[in-house]
Amino acid sequence: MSGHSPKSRVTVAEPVWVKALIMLAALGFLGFFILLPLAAVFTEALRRGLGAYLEALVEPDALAAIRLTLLVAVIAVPVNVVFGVAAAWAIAKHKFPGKSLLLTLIDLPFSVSPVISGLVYVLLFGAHGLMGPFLREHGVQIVFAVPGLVLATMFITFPFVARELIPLMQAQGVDEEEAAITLGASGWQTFRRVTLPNIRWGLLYGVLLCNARAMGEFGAVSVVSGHIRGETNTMPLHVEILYNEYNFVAAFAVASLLAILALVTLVAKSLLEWRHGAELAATARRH
Amino acid sequence: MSINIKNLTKRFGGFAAVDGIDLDIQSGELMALLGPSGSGKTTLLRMIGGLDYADEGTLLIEGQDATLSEPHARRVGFVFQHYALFRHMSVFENVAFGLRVSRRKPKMSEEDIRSRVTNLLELVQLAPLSGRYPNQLSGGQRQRVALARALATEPRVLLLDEPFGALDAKVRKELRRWLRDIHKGMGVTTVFVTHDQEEALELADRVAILNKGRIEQVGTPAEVYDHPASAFVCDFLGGGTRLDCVVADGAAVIAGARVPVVNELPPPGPATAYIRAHDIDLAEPGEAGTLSATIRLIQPVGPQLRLDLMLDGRVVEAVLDRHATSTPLAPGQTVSLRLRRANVYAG
Repeated sequence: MSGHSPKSRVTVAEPVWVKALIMLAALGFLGFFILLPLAAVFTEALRRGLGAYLEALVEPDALAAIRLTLLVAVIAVPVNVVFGVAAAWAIAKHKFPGKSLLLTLIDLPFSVSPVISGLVYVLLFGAHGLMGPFLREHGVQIVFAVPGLVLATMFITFPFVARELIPLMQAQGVDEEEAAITLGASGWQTFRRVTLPNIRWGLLYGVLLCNARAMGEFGAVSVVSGHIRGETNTMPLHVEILYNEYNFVAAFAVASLLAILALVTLVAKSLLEWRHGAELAATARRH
Repeated sequence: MSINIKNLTKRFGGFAAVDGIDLDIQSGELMALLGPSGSGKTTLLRMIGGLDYADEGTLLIEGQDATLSEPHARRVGFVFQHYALFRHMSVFENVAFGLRVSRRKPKMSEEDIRSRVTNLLELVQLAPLSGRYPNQLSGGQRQRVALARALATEPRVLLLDEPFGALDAKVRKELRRWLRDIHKGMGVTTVFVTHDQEEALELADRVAILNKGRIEQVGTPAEVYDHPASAFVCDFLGGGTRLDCVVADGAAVIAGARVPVVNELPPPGPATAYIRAHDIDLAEPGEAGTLSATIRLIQPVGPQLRLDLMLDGRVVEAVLDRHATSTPLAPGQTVSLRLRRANVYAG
């Protein structure tokens, strides 16, 4: 840690023009690559006025896409919260053989291309896939249907909660859990009364990121979706279809919803960091 | 309640952290487990508390086999080295935790919990701070909360891991006396781990000295200090200076002078003698049985005069009473010494 003494500040002092140049470069970069596109999304969406914008959003296919996106997130995020908390708890608070392997596996969705992640499900559950004949016999459709979308999204977003919690739980150690156990608490009581309250803000943070990704995921979902309008199109896929049909206003209108989601996530994340910064410090360096 | 430990062993990988320990702790006793870091004292304490399980041996609490029983079934209170207070709970809720999760029937009423916690907080003199959170407390206050929390469930045995390790000297002294009073008042069997020999000798009824996973000696503070059973114990309890000597004719001979030996004399031959700084006197030059040494350094510390002396090429520490020393002393001066007693061990 660098100190905050006046002396250490002197060592990083640069001439004013250098500071100005660096700041301009940073702000220029930010403006060009982030703010400008964001502004473009909203300008394009509102190009024909608020009426056309709202019309594009309440159109049946768009509504279906919004509903589907919410449905996928509502299933994938809670499932990943449960598995993420369980995995983080196992890794951070216990010693067992194969721990580093599990850690690597948790990171897998981050390192594999989303398209490959989607393709894996097609190869497994598709009509010509490994389990295709079995599934067909029993009348279960996974690929090109909602279950496939949920599975692909779960896979992609699995690391968010676990990765957020592991360093936090490791930093907190097992002292408080041991204290609870010597005081007579059962395993569940210890988890609910001690472990969970200690990670609540980190967990919320992980859920936010997980949710943003679950709603915004394109690659993996695109492979398993089948692009059936009004049925298996999530919002990102719907945007693509509209765009390819040169229906720019509608495309950008739906895209603006995703942009708003991103902004809300960002604000909530900053609020969390501001209010509970110390608690999240263990993990903040990675975002 | 009494604790009987027989041949208790705990291995981590191939390393035996606790290696066949036998120890009996009497009911109501205040027992210190004293040893350097890595001696196995904390592992032994954790096994008594049920936080680690023994690979071999048995542990009886109150005559019942508790070797493999769950921590809650042992009814022990554990005070952790860094207190391990629940950071998201107030002082009050920390102390109340054990009562709220209790599996004993019938459940305590909220009113009873409230009065028990209030009584405990008064006992540890923290009643006005009951609404505070752990990060708003000083180290000494956290320690007292941890103790109140451990006592809340009325444990049969109180276990403390380095209870004063993280505190400054003044607070440590106060808390030591205060823990002694609480122990006396409640009479709960108490075992604490420490690496500080002064703490162990001052506080405990009996001290067990551990080294490399084994017990070197168990006894009252006076016994272990006056009659260290091994060179390790002698050294660890402030053995003073180590000098080579020769055992012959029922005495130790150091640099030509015969020195009385307090412990059991090892067989004749070369041996190691430990001379405590308090056991060195200045003598008249030429007196029989004295040694000649050169003063290297003189340091008056409060009522004491601390001397570094060169004796036979070795530095020997001596502590004299400043007011009883009438002869003026100066560095470089040659003086005569009498070694009042020594502990001598073979090898």
